[in-house]
Amino acid sequence: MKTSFSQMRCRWLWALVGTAAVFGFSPPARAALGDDVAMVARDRVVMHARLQVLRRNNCEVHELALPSGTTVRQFVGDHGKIFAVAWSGGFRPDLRDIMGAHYDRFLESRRGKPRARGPLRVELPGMVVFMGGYLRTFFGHVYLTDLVPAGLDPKDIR
Amino acid sequence: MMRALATVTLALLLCRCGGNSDPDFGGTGGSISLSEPNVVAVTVDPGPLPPPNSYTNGLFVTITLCVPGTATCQTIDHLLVDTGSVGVRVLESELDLALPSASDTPDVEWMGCAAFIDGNAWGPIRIADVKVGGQIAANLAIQAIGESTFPVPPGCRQGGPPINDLESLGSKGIFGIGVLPEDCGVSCAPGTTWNVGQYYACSRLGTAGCSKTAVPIAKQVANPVAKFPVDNNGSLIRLPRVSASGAPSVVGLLAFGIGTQPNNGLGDARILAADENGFVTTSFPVGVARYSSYIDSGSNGLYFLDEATSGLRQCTTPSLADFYCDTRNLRASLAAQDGTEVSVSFSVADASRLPGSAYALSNLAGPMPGFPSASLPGFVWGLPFYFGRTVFTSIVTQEAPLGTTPYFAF
Repeated sequence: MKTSFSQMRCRWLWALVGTAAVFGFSPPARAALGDDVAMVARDRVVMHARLQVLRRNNCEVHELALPSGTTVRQFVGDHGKIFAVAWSGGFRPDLRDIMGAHYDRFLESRRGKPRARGPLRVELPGMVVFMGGYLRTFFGHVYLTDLVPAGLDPKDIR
Repeated sequence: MMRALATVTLALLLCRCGGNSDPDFGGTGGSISLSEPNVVAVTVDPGPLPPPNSYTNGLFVTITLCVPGTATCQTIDHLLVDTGSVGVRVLESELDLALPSASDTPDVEWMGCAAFIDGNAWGPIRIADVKVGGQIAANLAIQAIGESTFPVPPGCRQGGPPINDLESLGSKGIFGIGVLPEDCGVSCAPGTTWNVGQYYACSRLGTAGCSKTAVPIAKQVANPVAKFPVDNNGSLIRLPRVSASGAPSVVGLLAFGIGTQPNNGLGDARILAADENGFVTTSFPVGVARYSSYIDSGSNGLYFLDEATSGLRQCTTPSLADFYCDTRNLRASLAAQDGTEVSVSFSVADASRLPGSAYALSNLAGPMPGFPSASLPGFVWGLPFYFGRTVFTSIVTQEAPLGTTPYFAF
């Protein structure tokens, strides 16, 4: 994607901490929004994903490359909790896996609302969801406003 | 009853009363008449739901579905014409026909779990002869949307809310005619290394239930245009100009084929460079910044940038938070295949001042949620882009004149 929007406030530090490819059975636990970072390692198993851990100046990003080709990024703050998840790629990932306990709340908020007629932004108490898509491309992110580290602009969640 | 009334209204609109050539359209392309076999009328109107759930900037078409090879048919109005998706999908609740199953195994039904922006549409894959204007896509795989065959399985409940009824869809179905030939492709076909769950096989035997399945590409929900015997390499949409205050409704044209008939030539339309997923590049301000973007008749507004980058004021009223509350005439450019730029004039209205009776608006615009991001589009050229223009959509697998497919041209 081409953008000349140059001055990103939260710059990637790209310190590669680890890469892993894991195959095998799927334990039931998975790390979702608001969960502890300790859960993330199990996600790469559940999602059959390759995991890269990247360090930014005020957060850690666990990037899961799903077999479907979609990329899921879990943002972990110094508090050790996942405060945001972003996705992009050819298929929408399982949003219940991504939002965890917050998924039902999101669904409830959409009940009775007409179908989105363009890219969608949903603001709920303590949570913001953005979803978009076109043909076979899907993208979006969700974050918990109270857990976003000080100094990180929510716009840098991607 | 409502359906019958709507059908009569559409029948009047569609009345092929000789010399019915197009009214004041701007843009490129020659004269097109509704009486020509590759042409069908399209309307922008409130759609099937009463206010406040009516559709603003919904582009609709009427199609006829038939049991394959028979004269047992049904006409259905108000399918959303969507260049941002692929495939014909019709609400089961609107279907009176007994259409055959796409699955070739008795007692097993193929079900689709089609992903749209904020949710998934679930329902059985059926085979129908689909008639649009004078064109017929015979034995086309379509999706009937609804839960009457099998309820939505857990795996199809994880992509947002279900959009399986008139209230959530806002239309009686979707007429997806984007740049791709079918809705999923190799990721859903036999041999895929990872089934993404767009198709399920549901068994009527015992308690077998539903599980993800692979469907051969030739049997996936297909772009109806690609399945026409002729005029199958793409389509054009031509909508009239509307004033800055919009219109209660407008009538336009959808014509099939590009350069296959005297009425669908590119003329002096410029061909845009699109990637294999249909994305184009927008420059705004012209020559200053470039953004990934897409052209989509199924998005109801121009969604671009954000307040800080566009310099436009976002509405503060919660019900209008998705839109800009600023009045501007702007210019952008789109990258053409020949390496040059095509200029685009567009207008942004103050959404708080638009008349509530206007359902066709060429200047409805808002910020792009999630912007800025290197991995997300910066511009969505939704339906407002189509007013006063003739916009061509080619299909990637087909030959089209003068350019490498897929492309958009206008």
